[in-house]
Amino acid sequence: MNNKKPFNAGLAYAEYKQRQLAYIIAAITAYLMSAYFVVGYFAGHLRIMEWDGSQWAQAIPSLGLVAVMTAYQFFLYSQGDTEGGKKATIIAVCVAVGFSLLSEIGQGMERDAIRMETKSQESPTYKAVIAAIGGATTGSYNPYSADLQNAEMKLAQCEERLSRGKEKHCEGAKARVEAVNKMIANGNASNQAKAIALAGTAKTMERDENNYHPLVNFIREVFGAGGTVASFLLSLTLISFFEYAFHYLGGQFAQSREYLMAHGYDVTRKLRQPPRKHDGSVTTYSNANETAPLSAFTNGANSARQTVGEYAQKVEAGLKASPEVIATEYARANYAHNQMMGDVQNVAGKVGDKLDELAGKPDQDVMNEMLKSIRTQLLNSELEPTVKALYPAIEKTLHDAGYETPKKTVMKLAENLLMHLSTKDNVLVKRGNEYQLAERWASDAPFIKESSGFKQSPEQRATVQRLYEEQLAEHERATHSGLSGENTIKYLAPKETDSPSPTSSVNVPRLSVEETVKRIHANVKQSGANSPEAIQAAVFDAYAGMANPAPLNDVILERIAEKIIPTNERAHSTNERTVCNEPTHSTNERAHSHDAEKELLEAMKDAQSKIEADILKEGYGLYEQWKAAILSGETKLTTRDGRSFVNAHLCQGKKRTITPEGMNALIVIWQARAAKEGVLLLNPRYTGKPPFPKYLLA
Amino acid sequence: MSNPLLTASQNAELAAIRNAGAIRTTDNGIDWRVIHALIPWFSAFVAWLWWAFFLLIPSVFGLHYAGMMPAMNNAAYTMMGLTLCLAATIAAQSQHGVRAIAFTFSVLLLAYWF
Repeated sequence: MNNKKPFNAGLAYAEYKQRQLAYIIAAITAYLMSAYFVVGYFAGHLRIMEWDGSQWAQAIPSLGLVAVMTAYQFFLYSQGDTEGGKKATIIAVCVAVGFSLLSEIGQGMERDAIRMETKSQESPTYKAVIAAIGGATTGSYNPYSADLQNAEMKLAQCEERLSRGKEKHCEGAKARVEAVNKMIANGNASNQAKAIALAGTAKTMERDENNYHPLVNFIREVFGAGGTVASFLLSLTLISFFEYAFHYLGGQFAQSREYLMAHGYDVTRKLRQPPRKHDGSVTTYSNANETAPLSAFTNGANSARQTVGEYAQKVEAGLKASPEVIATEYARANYAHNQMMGDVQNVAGKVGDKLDELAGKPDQDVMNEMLKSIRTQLLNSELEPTVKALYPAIEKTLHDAGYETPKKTVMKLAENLLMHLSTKDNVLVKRGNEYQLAERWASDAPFIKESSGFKQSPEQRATVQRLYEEQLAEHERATHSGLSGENTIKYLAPKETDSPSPTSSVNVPRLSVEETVKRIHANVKQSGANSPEAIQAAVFDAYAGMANPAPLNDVILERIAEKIIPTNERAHSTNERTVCNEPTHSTNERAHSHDAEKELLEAMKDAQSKIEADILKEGYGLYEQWKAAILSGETKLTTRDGRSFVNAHLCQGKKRTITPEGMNALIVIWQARAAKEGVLLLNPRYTGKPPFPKYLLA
Repeated sequence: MSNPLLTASQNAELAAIRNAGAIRTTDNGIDWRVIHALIPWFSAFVAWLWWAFFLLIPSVFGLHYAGMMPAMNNAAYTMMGLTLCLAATIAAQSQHGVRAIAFTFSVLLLAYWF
């Protein structure tokens, strides 16, 4: 997977399937290898046809055991990088790897043993010894048999003559027979001793360790180990490679899955079917706090937040649905929108919890209001979706609420908010390192296309047209209301007539924006405020005094105050600003910009003599990363931190070194560029020497 | 060579980057980067070749030591070689050169031992 190339869903999915196949093959292999040894060990041998009942009874559970362990490995490796719980992860990997290593190494050693024994038993010397043993033990020929025959014959003749009285005795003949028998017994004993000696020799030759594989012999000689130990070490090496390959394939599989999902794609072409909830509804998300319910029409997970316009567009695009389904869908879409405020509050709760851990215990309402305010401002394009832009708004809100929060915490909070708005609310979309407003929020205007080719039923057409007109009218009213952001707020705010969201903590119906503004006007008139400052204060007081007003942020309240201020006062105020402040500011800015540009060019010229061109180019490209690190507080503006950053991104893993001078030159370029962009400001305390850095964060 | 669509400062910045050697051409005709990029693929190819010649074919026809081992044992090690070849190929795809070479080496070792 090459993340440098632009994302292509088709290629990414093909790659995902390919890696899935490779990973499954690896898992099957691991199963086979472990099962071969474990089953053989439990059942005694692998000649299945010869197994009796007890062997089957041992073999089947051992197959199950291996299956469970391999499945455990399969799921463990395919999880990718597991954040947190590292100790548990290490133990889990050790258990999985330990089992498979032992079983697979056992198999490897068995193969070595078979090879060694087969080679030993096929050697000519061994075969000769075996033949000699056979000869010694099974031979029927005896060299004294003729003598014995002769002696017994003589004894018989002697006894016959003795009975006829021709002989006095037969002692001589008897002694001869005994002597021959003794000789025969001695000869047999000698043969037996010889056979036993040959059997001993054969036994040692049966497992001649010199017949191990050359690699095993090599390890034996190098480490002076026995054949079994050397065989174990070789098998361990081979199996370790295999286990690493299995793990690697699992990691690559997880990575390709993440790659697809990070771009909003599922890992299957089939439509997922979530089960019904207890109340009979069908939703993708089990926890209502996470996000809104899902529309039955969609392939994607964000459809619950589809506007009615989007819904209508889908119907227009050719989805065949009955009027009942359309009505249900419309109700669900409305329900989803109404839940969003509750959703926002829950998100704020989570963010608040994070802040609790970092900086005391801010009030939950403050966090809720802040998140709503930022969300509204982002939707109205009054605020850019960057950490830098969010920072003042968050800091001001916390400060106004009486919290002194460290800068790092505020930055972190801003990051979390952006991430949350991107991943959970889908208000923002992350592109590279930047966030952008999601396209669906770029305009509140409902969008509908002319039907082309798709035939709708009259009911469908009527429903779609009615929904479209309603949304259009709402949009028009909001656009002409003169209050920036009102349309969005109105759109987001729960309607008084709707049933309250189950997740919302606010159950009292809110005033509409129009009603809120009217009441503010009336209160300001009653207060009798005349001067711009007094009017502004009265507006804020009036808003603060309301029981349950529409959610208006400070910017909107200031605009309301501006509208109430008499025209001549406003003109006076504007003139003052134009005449006095603007030219000075503008001139200063231009001068600053000119200096910064000059400084950047000088820094670049200076760097050319200190760094190789390739590294300089690469280093220049790292500017955005460095800036992000500076803004997030990960890196400071000190030389030491700067060099660490350069070292980490340009040297480590690339086997290259950059001189300290070169690093400094690169850092100077980045700083000059950041100053040019207004990210950094010249430090008034800078003297050209430490301890004060040249620049400070703007 | 200024770009009319850019501001003066942007053009100056661009010129400075160009002067810093952003565009470099090789004179000797050998593009070492291409060779470097091909090494993992070459090693993966070698891995497949060794697997086929020293694991698959001996297992199928009972050659070398494979003839004296049980068929199931031979099949298990042939599949192990297959897994290592797949890992080498995917490492080459992912531009993990060192891993690709390591997996190829393991195939060679396995084939020799097999």
